[in-house]
Amino acid sequence: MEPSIEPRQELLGLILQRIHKEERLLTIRRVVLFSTIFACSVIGLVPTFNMLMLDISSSGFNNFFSLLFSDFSVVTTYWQSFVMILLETLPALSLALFLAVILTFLESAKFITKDIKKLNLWNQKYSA
Amino acid sequence: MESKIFGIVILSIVGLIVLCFVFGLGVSVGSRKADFSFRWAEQYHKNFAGPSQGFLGMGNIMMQDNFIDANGVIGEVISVNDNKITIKGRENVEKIVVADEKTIIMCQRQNFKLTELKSGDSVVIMGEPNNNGQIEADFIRIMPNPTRGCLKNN
Repeated sequence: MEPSIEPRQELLGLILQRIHKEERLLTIRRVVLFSTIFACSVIGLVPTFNMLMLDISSSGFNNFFSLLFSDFSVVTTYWQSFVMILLETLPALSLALFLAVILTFLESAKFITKDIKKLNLWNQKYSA
Repeated sequence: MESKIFGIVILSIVGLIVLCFVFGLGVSVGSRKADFSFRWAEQYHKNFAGPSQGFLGMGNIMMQDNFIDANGVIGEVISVNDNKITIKGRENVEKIVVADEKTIIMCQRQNFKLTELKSGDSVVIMGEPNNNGQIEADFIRIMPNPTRGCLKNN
């Protein structure tokens, strides 16, 4: 009599369960990681925003930019000087830094939402 | 698969074009500011009758932080002589602004003449740099005084 080499019937289920468990663990890790990044970006938003506002007012960018609303016809006549002075006074570094923080904030929020949705789906599926 | 690679190539090319454009723009603006700052420092003794480093070592300002803005100035009028206006700008940098008959001078909706500008007026000036380290003003906006508004110098 030959020994049976057929796998147990529940093996497939066990393997899939294990894979789901690993995927779930990975998703939880991702949620923790992105939550940390999200929290850091929220904290970072305040000083970078303050820095941007300070640079905008100290460089005079806001004063020149406001000419667009108060003296539109003059600005259109001398648009080259206007564009040049805006570029000269634009606080490019602090603006780039602030936008980078905003980007990190939005991207991490997107990943967290996606992963939490995935976790909720699994919870519903396996609790049913 | 091919369309994905094609998309990446196109995106990379567009990204490079944008990068080159922004870099070129930065170099152009930086060069203008550096050129103006150099001329400003070079002509300082002529424009302000003081040492080349400025009375308070102001020539070093452009080396410490940023170069001086070439196309405009915000600050307080120190004096008006003929068609030359001396402005104390940010970081106490003095600038000479040259006005001519084409220069538009306004406070709120009123047009002003150059002679009606007085020391102590806060102004926002837009213009073009010249070879003497001065700004040839196209437009001067006088900021209304909080107490007196836009009173003319009569």
